[in-house]
Amino acid sequence: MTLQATLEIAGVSKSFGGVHAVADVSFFMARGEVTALIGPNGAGKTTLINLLTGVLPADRGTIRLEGRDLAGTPAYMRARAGIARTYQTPQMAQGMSVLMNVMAGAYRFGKHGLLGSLLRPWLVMADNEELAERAGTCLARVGVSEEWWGRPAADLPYGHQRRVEIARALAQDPKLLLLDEPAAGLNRSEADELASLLVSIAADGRAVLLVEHDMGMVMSISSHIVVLNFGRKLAEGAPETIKADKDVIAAYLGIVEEVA
Amino acid sequence: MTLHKTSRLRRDWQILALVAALLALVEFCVSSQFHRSVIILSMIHSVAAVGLTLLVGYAGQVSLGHGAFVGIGAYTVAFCLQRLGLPVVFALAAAVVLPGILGFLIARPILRLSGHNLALGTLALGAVFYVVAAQVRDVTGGLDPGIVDLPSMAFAGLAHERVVFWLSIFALCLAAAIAASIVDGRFGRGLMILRSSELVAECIGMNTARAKSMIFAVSASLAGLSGGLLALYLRSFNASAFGVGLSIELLMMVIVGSLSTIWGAMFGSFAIIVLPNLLEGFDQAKQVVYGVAMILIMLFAPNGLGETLFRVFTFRRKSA
Repeated sequence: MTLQATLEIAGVSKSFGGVHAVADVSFFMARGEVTALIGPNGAGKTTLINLLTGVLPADRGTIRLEGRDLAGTPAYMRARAGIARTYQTPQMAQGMSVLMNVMAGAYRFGKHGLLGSLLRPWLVMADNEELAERAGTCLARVGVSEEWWGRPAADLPYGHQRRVEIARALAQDPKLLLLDEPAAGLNRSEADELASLLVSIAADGRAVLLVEHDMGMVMSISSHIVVLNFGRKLAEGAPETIKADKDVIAAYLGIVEEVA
Repeated sequence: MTLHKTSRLRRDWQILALVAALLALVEFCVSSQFHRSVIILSMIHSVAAVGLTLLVGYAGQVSLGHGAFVGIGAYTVAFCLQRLGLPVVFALAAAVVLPGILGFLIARPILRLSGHNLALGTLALGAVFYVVAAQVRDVTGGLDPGIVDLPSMAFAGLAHERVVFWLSIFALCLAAAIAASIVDGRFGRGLMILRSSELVAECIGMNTARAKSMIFAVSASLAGLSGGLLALYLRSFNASAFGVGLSIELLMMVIVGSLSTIWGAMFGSFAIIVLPNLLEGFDQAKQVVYGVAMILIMLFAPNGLGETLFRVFTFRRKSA
Protein backbone atom coordinates (compact mmCIF):
# COMPACT_ATOMS: atom_id res chain seq x y z
CA MET A 1 0.00 0.00 0.00
CA THR A 2 1.49 3.25 -1.06
CA LEU A 3 -1.28 5.30 0.47
CA GLN A 4 -1.49 5.53 4.20
CA ALA A 5 -4.25 3.19 5.37
CA THR A 6 -6.74 5.00 7.58
CA LEU A 7 -8.70 1.83 8.08
CA GLU A 8 -7.33 -1.63 7.89
CA ILE A 9 -9.70 -4.56 7.99
CA ALA A 10 -8.17 -8.03 8.15
CA GLY A 11 -10.01 -11.35 8.19
CA VAL A 12 -13.14 -9.92 9.81
CA SER A 13 -15.95 -12.41 10.34
CA LYS A 14 -19.35 -12.38 11.96
CA SER A 15 -21.92 -15.16 12.15
CA PHE A 16 -25.47 -15.09 13.39
CA GLY A 17 -26.21 -18.67 14.39
CA GLY A 18 -25.15 -20.65 11.37
CA VAL A 19 -25.31 -17.75 8.95
CA HIS A 20 -21.99 -16.21 7.97
CA ALA A 21 -23.08 -12.61 7.59
CA VAL A 22 -19.51 -11.44 7.08
CA ALA A 23 -16.81 -14.01 6.40
CA ASP A 24 -13.09 -13.34 6.32
CA VAL A 25 -13.29 -9.87 4.79
CA SER A 26 -10.11 -7.83 4.39
CA PHE A 27 -9.43 -4.49 2.73
CA PHE A 28 -7.77 -1.13 3.24
CA MET A 29 -9.22 2.33 3.12
CA ALA A 30 -7.15 5.41 2.47
CA ARG A 31 -7.84 8.93 3.64
CA GLY A 32 -8.96 11.33 0.94
CA GLU A 33 -10.69 8.58 -0.98
CA VAL A 34 -14.20 7.30 -1.42
CA THR A 35 -14.27 3.54 -1.07
CA ALA A 36 -17.48 1.86 -2.17
CA LEU A 37 -18.85 -1.28 -0.61
CA ILE A 38 -21.33 -2.92 -2.93
CA GLY A 39 -23.11 -6.21 -3.23
CA PRO A 40 -26.59 -7.68 -3.59
CA ASN A 41 -29.11 -7.32 -0.76
CA GLY A 42 -28.09 -9.44 2.21
CA ALA A 43 -24.44 -9.48 1.20
CA GLY A 44 -23.39 -8.27 4.65
CA LYS A 45 -22.74 -4.60 3.95
CA THR A 46 -24.72 -3.18 6.85
CA THR A 47 -23.35 -5.89 9.15
CA LEU A 48 -19.86 -4.80 8.18
CA ILE A 49 -20.73 -1.19 9.05
CA ASN A 50 -21.99 -2.39 12.41
CA LEU A 51 -18.73 -4.25 12.97
CA LEU A 52 -16.68 -1.19 12.07
CA THR A 53 -18.66 1.11 14.37
CA GLY A 54 -18.52 -1.43 17.17
CA VAL A 55 -22.28 -1.79 17.39
CA LEU A 56 -21.68 -5.51 16.89
CA PRO A 57 -18.55 -7.31 18.10
CA ALA A 58 -16.64 -9.17 15.40
CA ASP A 59 -16.14 -12.91 15.89
CA ARG A 60 -12.69 -12.84 14.30
CA GLY A 61 -10.34 -10.51 12.55
CA THR A 62 -8.80 -7.14 13.28
CA ILE A 63 -9.96 -3.62 12.55
CA ARG A 64 -7.36 -0.89 12.80
CA LEU A 65 -8.02 2.83 12.65
CA GLU A 66 -4.81 4.67 11.85
CA GLY A 67 -2.88 1.70 13.12
CA ARG A 68 -4.78 1.42 16.38
CA ASP A 69 -6.48 -1.91 17.00
CA LEU A 70 -10.14 -1.35 17.80
CA ALA A 71 -10.81 -4.81 19.22
CA GLY A 72 -12.92 -4.59 22.35
CA THR A 73 -13.44 -0.84 21.92
CA PRO A 74 -17.13 -0.02 22.49
CA ALA A 75 -19.11 1.93 19.90
CA TYR A 76 -19.01 5.22 21.80
CA MET A 77 -15.23 5.07 22.11
CA ARG A 78 -14.87 4.40 18.39
CA ALA A 79 -17.11 7.40 17.72
CA ARG A 80 -14.79 9.48 19.88
CA ALA A 81 -11.81 8.02 18.03
CA GLY A 82 -13.25 9.43 14.82
CA ILE A 83 -15.72 7.00 13.25
CA ALA A 84 -19.05 8.50 12.22
CA ARG A 85 -21.93 6.96 10.31
CA THR A 86 -25.31 7.49 8.73
CA TYR A 87 -28.18 5.02 8.60
CA GLN A 88 -30.22 3.27 5.94
CA THR A 89 -33.32 5.08 7.16
CA PRO A 90 -32.53 8.55 8.51
CA GLN A 91 -32.49 8.54 12.31
CA MET A 92 -33.67 12.00 13.28
CA ALA A 93 -34.32 12.33 17.00
CA GLN A 94 -37.94 13.15 17.79
CA GLY A 95 -38.69 16.51 19.32
CA MET A 96 -35.35 18.05 18.34
CA SER A 97 -34.75 20.79 15.84
CA VAL A 98 -32.46 20.31 12.86
CA LEU A 99 -29.75 22.38 14.50
CA MET A 100 -30.02 20.52 17.80
CA ASN A 101 -29.70 17.18 16.02
CA VAL A 102 -26.49 18.31 14.41
CA MET A 103 -25.25 19.89 17.65
CA ALA A 104 -25.81 16.51 19.27
CA GLY A 105 -23.47 15.10 16.63
CA ALA A 106 -20.74 17.34 18.01
CA TYR A 107 -21.19 15.60 21.37
CA ARG A 108 -17.54 14.69 21.68
CA PHE A 109 -16.45 18.31 21.30
CA GLY A 110 -18.63 19.61 24.12
CA LYS A 111 -16.55 20.77 27.05
CA HIS A 112 -19.13 20.35 29.78
CA GLY A 113 -20.39 17.10 31.24
CA LEU A 114 -23.33 16.46 33.53
CA LEU A 115 -21.63 17.77 36.65
CA GLY A 116 -20.19 20.74 34.79
CA SER A 117 -23.61 21.74 33.59
CA LEU A 118 -24.95 21.56 37.14
CA LEU A 119 -22.24 23.64 38.71
CA ARG A 120 -21.36 26.10 35.98
CA PRO A 121 -24.35 26.75 33.73
CA TRP A 122 -22.64 29.71 32.06
CA LEU A 123 -20.13 27.26 30.57
CA VAL A 124 -23.08 25.46 29.01
CA MET A 125 -24.15 28.66 27.29
CA ALA A 126 -20.70 29.38 25.89
CA ASP A 127 -20.30 25.76 24.87
CA ASN A 128 -23.71 25.73 23.20
CA GLU A 129 -22.80 28.72 21.12
CA GLU A 130 -19.61 27.08 19.97
CA LEU A 131 -21.35 23.81 19.14
CA ALA A 132 -24.13 25.66 17.32
CA GLU A 133 -21.49 27.42 15.26
CA ARG A 134 -19.92 24.11 14.35
CA ALA A 135 -23.32 22.57 13.58
CA GLY A 136 -24.28 25.55 11.43
CA THR A 137 -21.12 25.21 9.37
CA CYS A 138 -21.85 21.53 8.77
CA LEU A 139 -25.47 22.23 7.81
CA ALA A 140 -24.44 24.95 5.39
CA ARG A 141 -21.95 22.58 3.86
CA VAL A 142 -24.52 19.85 3.14
CA GLY A 143 -26.83 22.49 1.67
CA VAL A 144 -29.52 22.77 4.33
CA SER A 145 -30.33 26.47 4.42
CA GLU A 146 -30.85 28.39 7.61
CA GLU A 147 -34.63 28.58 7.30
CA TRP A 148 -34.79 24.85 8.13
CA TRP A 149 -32.57 24.90 11.19
CA GLY A 150 -35.24 25.67 13.75
CA ARG A 151 -37.72 23.10 12.46
CA PRO A 152 -38.32 19.68 14.03
CA ALA A 153 -35.88 17.43 12.18
CA ALA A 154 -38.29 14.52 11.99
CA ASP A 155 -40.77 16.64 9.99
CA LEU A 156 -38.28 17.41 7.22
CA PRO A 157 -38.61 15.98 3.72
CA TYR A 158 -36.72 12.75 3.28
CA GLY A 159 -33.96 14.21 1.14
CA HIS A 160 -33.31 16.88 3.73
CA GLN A 161 -33.21 14.34 6.54
CA ARG A 162 -30.46 12.52 4.66
CA ARG A 163 -28.46 15.73 4.43
CA VAL A 164 -29.02 16.58 8.09
CA GLU A 165 -27.78 13.12 8.95
CA ILE A 166 -24.60 13.67 6.98
CA ALA A 167 -24.22 17.05 8.70
CA ARG A 168 -24.59 15.33 12.07
CA ALA A 169 -21.86 12.87 11.11
CA LEU A 170 -19.64 15.72 9.87
CA ALA A 171 -20.14 17.51 13.17
CA GLN A 172 -18.23 14.59 14.70
CA ASP A 173 -15.29 15.63 12.50
CA PRO A 174 -14.68 11.98 11.60
CA LYS A 175 -11.56 10.40 10.21
CA LEU A 176 -13.74 7.68 8.81
CA LEU A 177 -17.26 8.32 7.55
CA LEU A 178 -19.54 5.36 6.89
CA LEU A 179 -22.58 6.03 4.73
CA ASP A 180 -25.29 3.37 4.55
CA GLU A 181 -27.14 3.87 1.26
CA PRO A 182 -27.19 7.68 1.37
CA ALA A 183 -28.74 8.01 -2.11
CA ALA A 184 -31.73 5.73 -1.42
CA GLY A 185 -34.93 7.66 -2.07
CA LEU A 186 -33.18 10.64 -3.64
CA ASN A 187 -34.00 11.86 -7.15
CA ARG A 188 -31.33 12.23 -9.82
CA SER A 189 -30.36 15.81 -9.14
CA GLU A 190 -30.28 15.25 -5.38
CA ALA A 191 -28.12 12.18 -5.92
CA ASP A 192 -25.73 14.20 -8.08
CA GLU A 193 -25.43 16.88 -5.42
CA LEU A 194 -24.79 14.15 -2.86
CA ALA A 195 -22.05 12.68 -5.06
CA SER A 196 -20.15 15.95 -5.25
CA LEU A 197 -20.63 16.49 -1.51
CA LEU A 198 -19.08 13.10 -0.79
CA VAL A 199 -16.15 13.86 -3.05
CA SER A 200 -15.54 17.12 -1.21
CA ILE A 201 -15.83 15.40 2.17
CA ALA A 202 -13.18 12.90 1.10
CA ALA A 203 -11.06 15.79 -0.14
CA ASP A 204 -10.96 17.06 3.48
CA GLY A 205 -8.67 14.14 4.11
CA ARG A 206 -11.29 11.77 5.48
CA ALA A 207 -11.80 8.17 4.49
CA VAL A 208 -15.33 7.70 3.17
CA LEU A 209 -16.99 4.30 2.96
CA LEU A 210 -19.99 4.36 0.67
CA VAL A 211 -22.52 1.53 0.78
CA GLU A 212 -24.74 2.17 -2.18
CA HIS A 213 -26.91 0.55 -4.84
CA ASP A 214 -26.78 3.54 -7.19
CA MET A 215 -24.09 2.18 -9.52
CA GLY A 216 -23.81 5.41 -11.47
CA MET A 217 -22.77 7.21 -8.29
CA VAL A 218 -20.53 4.38 -7.11
CA MET A 219 -18.66 4.15 -10.40
CA SER A 220 -18.23 7.90 -10.79
CA ILE A 221 -16.90 8.86 -7.35
CA SER A 222 -15.15 5.83 -5.86
CA SER A 223 -11.44 5.28 -6.15
CA HIS A 224 -11.76 1.77 -4.92
CA ILE A 225 -14.64 -0.73 -4.84
CA VAL A 226 -15.10 -3.76 -2.60
CA VAL A 227 -17.76 -6.24 -3.65
CA LEU A 228 -19.40 -8.50 -1.07
CA ASN A 229 -21.56 -11.51 -1.82
CA PHE A 230 -22.97 -13.83 0.85
CA GLY A 231 -20.66 -12.19 3.36
CA ARG A 232 -17.49 -12.90 1.39
CA LYS A 233 -15.35 -10.52 -0.57
CA LEU A 234 -16.06 -11.32 -4.18
CA ALA A 235 -13.84 -8.76 -5.85
CA GLU A 236 -11.92 -5.59 -5.15
CA GLY A 237 -10.40 -2.94 -7.36
CA ALA A 238 -10.81 0.21 -9.36
CA PRO A 239 -14.25 0.90 -10.91
CA GLU A 240 -13.13 -0.21 -14.39
CA THR A 241 -11.87 -3.53 -13.05
CA ILE A 242 -15.09 -4.15 -11.14
CA LYS A 243 -17.29 -3.28 -14.10
CA ALA A 244 -15.55 -5.92 -16.19
CA ASP A 245 -15.40 -8.59 -13.48
CA LYS A 246 -17.36 -11.70 -14.49
CA ASP A 247 -18.03 -12.83 -10.93
CA VAL A 248 -19.48 -9.46 -10.04
CA ILE A 249 -21.74 -9.42 -13.05
CA ALA A 250 -22.88 -12.93 -12.23
CA ALA A 251 -23.62 -12.00 -8.61
CA TYR A 252 -25.71 -9.04 -9.67
CA LEU A 253 -27.50 -10.55 -12.66
CA GLY A 254 -27.58 -14.16 -11.59
CA ILE A 255 -25.38 -16.84 -13.12
CA VAL A 256 -25.38 -16.28 -16.84
CA GLU A 257 -24.33 -19.14 -19.09
CA GLU A 258 -21.75 -18.16 -21.61
CA VAL A 259 -23.60 -17.60 -24.87
CA ALA A 260 -21.74 -17.97 -28.08
CA MET B 1 -27.56 31.80 15.03
CA THR B 2 -29.02 32.53 18.44
CA LEU B 3 -32.41 32.55 16.79
CA HIS B 4 -32.26 28.81 16.62
CA LYS B 5 -32.82 27.80 20.20
CA THR B 6 -29.24 28.09 21.29
CA SER B 7 -30.58 30.55 23.81
CA ARG B 8 -32.89 27.91 25.27
CA LEU B 9 -30.97 27.95 28.51
CA ARG B 10 -31.34 31.71 28.80
CA ARG B 11 -35.07 31.38 28.13
CA ASP B 12 -35.38 28.67 30.77
CA TRP B 13 -33.62 30.90 33.29
CA GLN B 14 -36.14 33.62 32.51
CA ILE B 15 -39.04 31.25 33.01
CA LEU B 16 -37.45 30.14 36.27
CA ALA B 17 -37.22 33.72 37.52
CA LEU B 18 -40.86 34.22 36.59
CA VAL B 19 -41.96 31.05 38.37
CA ALA B 20 -39.97 31.98 41.48
CA ALA B 21 -41.50 35.46 41.57
CA LEU B 22 -44.98 34.06 41.04
CA LEU B 23 -44.61 31.51 43.83
CA ALA B 24 -43.24 34.14 46.21
CA LEU B 25 -46.22 36.33 45.40
CA VAL B 26 -48.56 33.43 46.06
CA GLU B 27 -46.86 32.85 49.40
CA PHE B 28 -47.65 36.40 50.45
CA CYS B 29 -51.20 36.43 49.14
CA VAL B 30 -52.69 33.07 50.01
CA SER B 31 -54.17 33.04 53.47
CA SER B 32 -56.38 29.97 53.41
CA GLN B 33 -54.73 27.08 55.22
CA PHE B 34 -56.23 24.63 52.75
CA HIS B 35 -54.98 26.45 49.65
CA ARG B 36 -51.59 26.75 51.26
CA SER B 37 -51.36 23.02 51.85
CA VAL B 38 -52.44 22.23 48.28
CA ILE B 39 -49.78 24.53 46.86
CA ILE B 40 -47.07 23.22 49.18
CA LEU B 41 -47.88 19.62 48.26
CA SER B 42 -47.91 20.54 44.57
CA MET B 43 -44.49 22.16 44.84
CA ILE B 44 -43.04 19.26 46.80
CA HIS B 45 -44.31 16.74 44.27
CA SER B 46 -43.09 18.98 41.45
CA VAL B 47 -39.52 18.55 42.65
CA ALA B 48 -39.77 14.80 42.09
CA ALA B 49 -41.80 15.23 38.91
CA VAL B 50 -39.17 17.54 37.38
CA GLY B 51 -36.57 14.85 38.03
CA LEU B 52 -38.82 12.19 36.58
CA THR B 53 -39.35 14.32 33.47
CA LEU B 54 -35.61 14.12 32.87
CA LEU B 55 -35.68 10.34 33.11
CA VAL B 56 -38.97 9.57 31.37
CA GLY B 57 -39.44 12.52 29.07
CA TYR B 58 -35.87 13.21 27.99
CA ALA B 59 -34.05 9.91 28.37
CA GLY B 60 -37.14 7.83 27.54
CA GLN B 61 -36.72 5.45 30.50
CA VAL B 62 -39.98 4.79 32.32
CA SER B 63 -39.94 4.40 36.06
CA LEU B 64 -42.88 3.20 38.10
CA GLY B 65 -40.79 3.03 41.23
CA HIS B 66 -39.72 6.56 42.04
CA GLY B 67 -42.02 6.62 45.05
CA ALA B 68 -39.29 4.52 46.68
CA PHE B 69 -36.72 7.30 46.31
CA VAL B 70 -39.20 9.81 47.72
CA GLY B 71 -39.56 7.45 50.66
CA ILE B 72 -35.82 7.04 51.10
CA GLY B 73 -35.49 10.83 51.14
CA ALA B 74 -38.23 11.16 53.74
CA TYR B 75 -36.76 8.49 56.05
CA THR B 76 -33.29 9.95 55.61
CA VAL B 77 -34.50 13.33 56.84
CA ALA B 78 -36.35 11.73 59.74
CA PHE B 79 -33.29 9.69 60.69
CA CYS B 80 -30.95 12.67 60.48
CA LEU B 81 -33.20 14.89 62.55
CA GLN B 82 -34.37 12.44 65.20
CA ARG B 83 -31.46 10.04 65.63
CA LEU B 84 -28.45 12.09 64.58
CA GLY B 85 -29.76 15.48 65.64
CA LEU B 86 -28.39 17.10 62.49
CA PRO B 87 -29.55 20.54 61.32
CA VAL B 88 -32.31 20.61 58.69
CA VAL B 89 -29.97 21.71 55.91
CA PHE B 90 -27.73 18.68 56.40
CA ALA B 91 -30.72 16.39 56.67
CA LEU B 92 -32.03 17.65 53.33
CA ALA B 93 -28.58 17.35 51.76
CA ALA B 94 -28.43 13.74 52.92
CA ALA B 95 -31.90 13.20 51.43
CA VAL B 96 -30.47 14.30 48.08
CA VAL B 97 -27.18 12.42 48.22
CA LEU B 98 -28.29 9.04 49.56
CA PRO B 99 -31.08 8.37 47.04
CA GLY B 100 -28.75 9.62 44.30
CA ILE B 101 -26.10 7.07 45.22
CA LEU B 102 -28.65 4.28 45.59
CA GLY B 103 -30.22 5.30 42.29
CA PHE B 104 -26.86 5.17 40.54
CA LEU B 105 -26.14 1.70 41.93
CA ILE B 106 -29.57 0.33 41.04
CA ALA B 107 -29.62 1.98 37.61
CA ARG B 108 -27.02 -0.23 35.92
CA PRO B 109 -28.85 -3.52 36.46
CA ILE B 110 -32.39 -2.18 36.15
CA LEU B 111 -31.78 -0.08 33.03
CA ARG B 112 -30.68 -3.18 31.17
CA LEU B 113 -34.43 -3.59 30.90
CA SER B 114 -36.42 -1.42 28.57
CA GLY B 115 -40.02 -0.67 27.67
CA HIS B 116 -42.64 -2.76 29.49
CA ASN B 117 -39.98 -4.79 31.27
CA LEU B 118 -38.42 -1.65 32.69
CA ALA B 119 -41.84 -0.45 33.85
CA LEU B 120 -42.40 -3.79 35.60
CA GLY B 121 -38.90 -3.88 37.05
CA THR B 122 -39.20 -0.41 38.55
CA LEU B 123 -42.72 -1.22 39.75
CA ALA B 124 -41.27 -4.20 41.60
CA LEU B 125 -38.54 -1.97 43.03
CA GLY B 126 -41.19 0.37 44.41
CA ALA B 127 -43.24 -2.50 45.81
CA VAL B 128 -40.18 -4.03 47.51
CA PHE B 129 -39.32 -0.69 49.08
CA TYR B 130 -42.81 -0.41 50.53
CA VAL B 131 -42.60 -3.86 52.09
CA VAL B 132 -39.13 -3.21 53.49
CA ALA B 133 -40.11 0.20 54.85
CA ALA B 134 -43.14 -1.33 56.54
CA GLN B 135 -41.01 -4.09 58.11
CA VAL B 136 -37.78 -2.38 59.17
CA ARG B 137 -39.40 -0.89 62.24
CA ASP B 138 -36.12 0.17 63.82
CA VAL B 139 -35.63 2.92 61.27
CA THR B 140 -39.06 3.58 59.84
CA GLY B 141 -41.35 2.82 62.75
CA GLY B 142 -43.23 0.41 60.45
CA LEU B 143 -46.79 1.26 59.47
CA ASP B 144 -47.79 2.08 63.03
CA PRO B 145 -46.68 4.44 64.43
CA GLY B 146 -44.30 5.18 61.53
CA ILE B 147 -42.35 8.39 61.90
CA VAL B 148 -43.96 10.76 64.34
CA ASP B 149 -43.36 14.25 65.64
CA LEU B 150 -40.57 15.58 63.52
CA PRO B 151 -39.67 19.05 64.81
CA SER B 152 -41.72 22.04 63.67
CA MET B 153 -40.03 24.23 61.07
CA ALA B 154 -41.33 27.39 62.71
CA PHE B 155 -38.44 29.83 62.54
CA ALA B 156 -37.89 33.49 63.34
CA GLY B 157 -41.56 34.22 63.87
CA LEU B 158 -42.69 32.41 60.71
CA ALA B 159 -45.17 29.57 61.17
CA HIS B 160 -44.28 25.98 60.18
CA GLU B 161 -46.31 26.14 56.94
CA ARG B 162 -44.72 29.38 55.84
CA VAL B 163 -41.18 28.14 56.37
CA VAL B 164 -41.97 24.94 54.47
CA PHE B 165 -43.53 27.03 51.72
CA TRP B 166 -40.31 29.01 51.28
CA LEU B 167 -38.19 25.88 51.51
CA SER B 168 -40.35 24.30 48.80
CA ILE B 169 -40.03 27.33 46.52
CA PHE B 170 -36.28 27.19 46.97
CA ALA B 171 -36.11 23.43 46.32
CA LEU B 172 -38.35 23.64 43.29
CA CYS B 173 -36.29 26.43 41.76
CA LEU B 174 -33.12 24.49 42.48
CA ALA B 175 -34.60 21.39 40.83
CA ALA B 176 -35.69 23.40 37.80
CA ALA B 177 -32.31 25.11 37.50
CA ILE B 178 -30.54 21.76 37.60
CA ALA B 179 -32.94 20.27 35.09
CA ALA B 180 -32.64 23.25 32.74
CA SER B 181 -28.84 23.12 32.82
CA ILE B 182 -28.98 19.45 31.94
CA VAL B 183 -31.59 19.48 29.18
CA ASP B 184 -30.26 22.58 27.47
CA GLY B 185 -26.70 21.33 27.43
CA ARG B 186 -24.72 18.72 25.61
CA PHE B 187 -25.82 15.95 27.95
CA GLY B 188 -29.50 16.79 27.44
CA ARG B 189 -29.16 16.70 23.67
CA GLY B 190 -27.44 13.34 24.01
CA LEU B 191 -30.34 12.09 26.12
CA MET B 192 -32.87 13.19 23.50
CA ILE B 193 -30.92 11.29 20.86
CA LEU B 194 -30.81 8.32 23.22
CA ARG B 195 -34.59 8.46 23.66
CA SER B 196 -35.04 8.09 19.90
CA SER B 197 -32.28 5.57 19.38
CA GLU B 198 -29.65 4.13 21.67
CA LEU B 199 -27.69 3.10 18.60
CA VAL B 200 -27.40 6.67 17.32
CA ALA B 201 -26.46 7.93 20.78
CA GLU B 202 -23.61 5.42 21.00
CA CYS B 203 -22.46 6.31 17.50
CA ILE B 204 -22.16 10.02 18.31
CA GLY B 205 -19.89 9.08 21.20
CA MET B 206 -22.22 8.89 24.18
CA ASN B 207 -21.62 6.18 26.74
CA THR B 208 -25.30 5.31 26.95
CA ALA B 209 -25.12 2.86 29.85
CA ARG B 210 -23.36 5.49 31.95
CA ALA B 211 -25.60 8.32 30.78
CA LYS B 212 -28.71 6.38 31.74
CA SER B 213 -27.29 5.63 35.18
CA MET B 214 -26.39 9.27 35.69
CA ILE B 215 -29.82 10.58 34.78
CA PHE B 216 -31.47 7.88 36.87
CA ALA B 217 -29.32 9.04 39.78
CA VAL B 218 -30.26 12.69 39.23
CA SER B 219 -33.95 11.85 39.11
CA ALA B 220 -33.58 9.73 42.26
CA SER B 221 -31.83 12.63 43.99
CA LEU B 222 -34.64 15.02 43.17
CA ALA B 223 -37.19 12.43 44.30
CA GLY B 224 -35.21 12.20 47.54
CA LEU B 225 -35.27 15.97 47.99
CA SER B 226 -39.00 15.88 47.42
CA GLY B 227 -39.34 13.16 50.06
CA GLY B 228 -37.21 15.12 52.50
CA LEU B 229 -39.46 18.15 52.15
CA LEU B 230 -42.55 15.98 52.47
CA ALA B 231 -41.21 14.61 55.75
CA LEU B 232 -40.50 18.13 57.04
CA TYR B 233 -43.96 19.29 56.04
CA LEU B 234 -46.04 16.36 57.29
CA ARG B 235 -43.90 15.74 60.42
CA SER B 236 -45.64 12.38 60.84
CA PHE B 237 -45.98 9.72 58.14
CA ASN B 238 -45.64 6.02 57.48
CA ALA B 239 -44.63 3.74 54.63
CA SER B 240 -48.08 3.81 53.04
CA ALA B 241 -47.29 7.31 51.77
CA PHE B 242 -44.60 5.87 49.48
CA GLY B 243 -46.37 2.94 47.89
CA VAL B 244 -46.93 2.15 44.26
CA GLY B 245 -49.72 4.74 44.27
CA LEU B 246 -47.21 7.57 44.72
CA SER B 247 -44.99 6.24 41.93
CA ILE B 248 -47.92 6.16 39.55
CA GLU B 249 -49.05 9.61 40.64
CA LEU B 250 -45.57 11.01 39.94
CA LEU B 251 -45.59 9.46 36.49
CA MET B 252 -49.08 10.88 35.88
CA MET B 253 -47.79 14.32 36.84
CA VAL B 254 -45.11 14.06 34.19
CA ILE B 255 -47.47 12.76 31.53
CA VAL B 256 -50.25 15.21 32.31
CA GLY B 257 -47.76 18.06 32.46
CA SER B 258 -45.45 17.46 29.54
CA LEU B 259 -42.90 14.91 28.44
CA SER B 260 -40.89 17.46 26.53
CA THR B 261 -40.40 20.39 28.87
CA ILE B 262 -39.42 20.47 32.51
CA TRP B 263 -42.03 23.15 33.18
CA GLY B 264 -44.87 20.78 32.42
CA ALA B 265 -44.07 18.82 35.57
CA MET B 266 -45.09 21.78 37.75
CA PHE B 267 -48.39 22.08 35.96
CA GLY B 268 -48.92 18.32 36.11
CA SER B 269 -48.24 18.15 39.84
CA PHE B 270 -50.69 20.93 40.53
CA ALA B 271 -53.34 19.23 38.37
CA ILE B 272 -52.88 15.81 39.98
CA ILE B 273 -52.92 17.24 43.53
CA VAL B 274 -55.85 19.60 42.96
CA LEU B 275 -58.06 17.37 40.83
CA PRO B 276 -59.12 14.94 43.58
CA ASN B 277 -60.02 17.93 45.77
CA LEU B 278 -62.06 19.53 43.02
CA LEU B 279 -63.88 16.26 42.53
CA GLU B 280 -65.02 16.00 46.18
CA GLY B 281 -68.47 17.12 45.05
CA PHE B 282 -68.92 13.99 42.94
CA ASP B 283 -68.72 11.94 46.10
CA GLN B 284 -68.97 8.26 45.12
CA ALA B 285 -68.43 8.91 41.43
CA LYS B 286 -65.12 10.64 42.24
CA GLN B 287 -62.85 7.85 41.03
CA VAL B 288 -64.85 7.47 37.83
CA VAL B 289 -64.72 11.17 37.01
CA TYR B 290 -61.00 11.19 37.81
CA GLY B 291 -60.46 8.29 35.43
CA VAL B 292 -62.51 9.90 32.68
CA ALA B 293 -60.61 13.16 33.11
CA MET B 294 -57.32 11.29 32.71
CA ILE B 295 -58.54 9.51 29.59
CA LEU B 296 -59.72 12.81 28.08
CA ILE B 297 -56.34 14.36 28.77
CA MET B 298 -54.58 11.42 27.11
CA LEU B 299 -56.90 11.64 24.11
CA PHE B 300 -56.87 15.35 23.51
CA ALA B 301 -53.54 16.38 24.94
CA PRO B 302 -51.18 13.47 24.35
CA ASN B 303 -48.20 15.83 24.67
CA GLY B 304 -49.37 16.79 28.11
CA LEU B 305 -52.05 19.17 29.25
CA GLY B 306 -49.55 21.85 30.22
CA GLU B 307 -47.90 21.84 26.83
CA THR B 308 -51.18 21.77 24.91
CA LEU B 309 -52.61 24.71 26.85
CA PHE B 310 -49.37 26.58 26.29
CA ARG B 311 -49.55 25.92 22.53
CA VAL B 312 -53.19 27.01 22.33
CA PHE B 313 -52.36 30.15 24.25
CA THR B 314 -49.37 31.13 22.12
CA PHE B 315 -51.25 30.23 18.91
CA ARG B 316 -54.11 32.54 19.86
CA ARG B 317 -51.73 35.33 20.64
CA LYS B 318 -49.90 34.95 17.36
CA SER B 319 -53.06 34.88 15.28
CA ALA B 320 -54.59 37.84 17.14
